[in-house]
Amino acid sequence: MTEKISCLRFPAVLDKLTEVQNFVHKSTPADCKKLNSKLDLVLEELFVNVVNYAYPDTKGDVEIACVFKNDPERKMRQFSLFLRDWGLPFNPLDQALPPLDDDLDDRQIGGLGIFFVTQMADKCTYNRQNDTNEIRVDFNID
Amino acid sequence: MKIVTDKRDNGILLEVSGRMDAVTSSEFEKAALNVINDGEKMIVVDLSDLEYISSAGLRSILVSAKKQKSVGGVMQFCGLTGMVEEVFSVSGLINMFKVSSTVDEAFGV
Repeated sequence: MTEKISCLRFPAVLDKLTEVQNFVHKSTPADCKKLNSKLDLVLEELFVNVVNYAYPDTKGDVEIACVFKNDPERKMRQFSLFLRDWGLPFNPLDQALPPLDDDLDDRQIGGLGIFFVTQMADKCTYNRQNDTNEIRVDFNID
Repeated sequence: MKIVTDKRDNGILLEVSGRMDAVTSSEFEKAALNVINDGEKMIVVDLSDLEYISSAGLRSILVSAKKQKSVGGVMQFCGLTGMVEEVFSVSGLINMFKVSSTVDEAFGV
């Protein structure tokens, strides 16, 4: 099995979104580019979440790691995205699913971001450890 | 993201291309609100050249569409493809709006 890891730390500000996306694109194996739009969506929602909520009164960073595992024997290829922040304890996966009303008048405006993350990923996990929030999102690659 | 506004006989067309994300989505809201404030009752949003949309993009669409409805107007969509179509589908927006394949179909030409 081979494992390729890349990791970088960014200031948690919205202006860094494109830079963060470019970093993850570079870490995606060449033959998995069809993952890109799904990955962009998951990454944006999680990154914006940290930008908006992790550091209400201070500035802080977010660390982004990409891990690509290739196991030909088990025919398993997996791309995992990790986001870590040092902000307030917060498990976004605990948030209730927003009601998906069909009526425009009743429709709630926000709350879809984390829902998209869980829909696009094969698996999502949250860990609070060493005073950090860590979200891990796995994508199985065919 | 780029937005081209095109006045038609029976409404106005907004052609949105590029990426509608947390950084750019406010531009859509601004363009849509301009058109709504001008009193356009029929707005068709063509998304066939939109490559990417996130929840921030959907938020700006919902805010604009609610505003348009509140003044008695209609906002419709056409040309959904790829991940944009998937996002509309997963979020249920595809059932909330009239969605057509082409601009002509949306305007009933």
